[in-house]
Amino acid sequence: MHIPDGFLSLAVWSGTGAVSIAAVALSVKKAKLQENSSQIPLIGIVTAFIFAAQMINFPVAGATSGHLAGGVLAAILFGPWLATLIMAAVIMIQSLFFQDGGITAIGANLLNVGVIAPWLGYIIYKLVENSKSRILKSAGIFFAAWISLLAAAVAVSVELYFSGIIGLGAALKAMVTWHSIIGIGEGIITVVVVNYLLTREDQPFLLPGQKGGLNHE
Amino acid sequence: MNKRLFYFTLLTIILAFVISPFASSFPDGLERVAHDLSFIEHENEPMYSIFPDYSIPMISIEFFSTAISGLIGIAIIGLLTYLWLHWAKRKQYS
Repeated sequence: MHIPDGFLSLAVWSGTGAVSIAAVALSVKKAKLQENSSQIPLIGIVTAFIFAAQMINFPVAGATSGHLAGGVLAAILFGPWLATLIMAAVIMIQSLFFQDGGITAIGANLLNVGVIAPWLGYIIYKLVENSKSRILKSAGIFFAAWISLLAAAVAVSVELYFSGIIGLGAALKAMVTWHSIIGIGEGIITVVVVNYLLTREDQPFLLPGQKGGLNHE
Repeated sequence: MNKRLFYFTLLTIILAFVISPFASSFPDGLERVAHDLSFIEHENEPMYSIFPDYSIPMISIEFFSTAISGLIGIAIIGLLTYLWLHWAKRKQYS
């Protein structure tokens, strides 16, 4: 869902850019970067995973393709503040080095998949976080990832509409239809990775508020 | 290193270096919509290109061009992680 250069009007890309700069600045402050130093290698590995997973487009319905966005995964593992920073790193590397996503669209892309998606997904995850039923918890994580991708697709539609590119109704209908299918992949990958990294006895992660998870050096 | 994390790291490298060249080349969701609703012509060429669309211009074999792009991306993230770790440790002891 990387918006390229040229789709967004000056007002939209500079407006979303300003919002994203503010979001990153606030996230840097809230994530308490230097206090998390024992988690930095884990954060780096997950960031690399999200980058790599974003390269793997899977075919959808013979007409389109999708790949993991990863914002909700990052938010569940490290909280929404760090998730925004992780996604900022991924989106900027993709745009600046690999010409995947426009440079002028970095702000909008970050807002959609690095702020809106992880925060919405995180709030939904919080509702099922303490559930004893692993099935319910996994279903909640799936839904959080799926609906967050849809929210990002809605945000893209609104940005295209305000840029004068396309009518809101047409954009919403097309974006939501395709991404409701692509989001199934987002949901499955997020559930599998979270379960692999978090719910076993030898888990390598220590979540905020969780005791004794880290780390068998 | 934790075993689970080791396999996860290994998976990441395999995704970037081995699996990425086999990724689907169908247009992604937004591109599909841009074609269907015919606003794709608004797309501008990138202002410059280094590794355009995860390819390395010098390498003509497509598999390696994509695979090495994946490794370069991971290397950049590794470098940033190292710099951050370095910075955090210095701040802690000062």
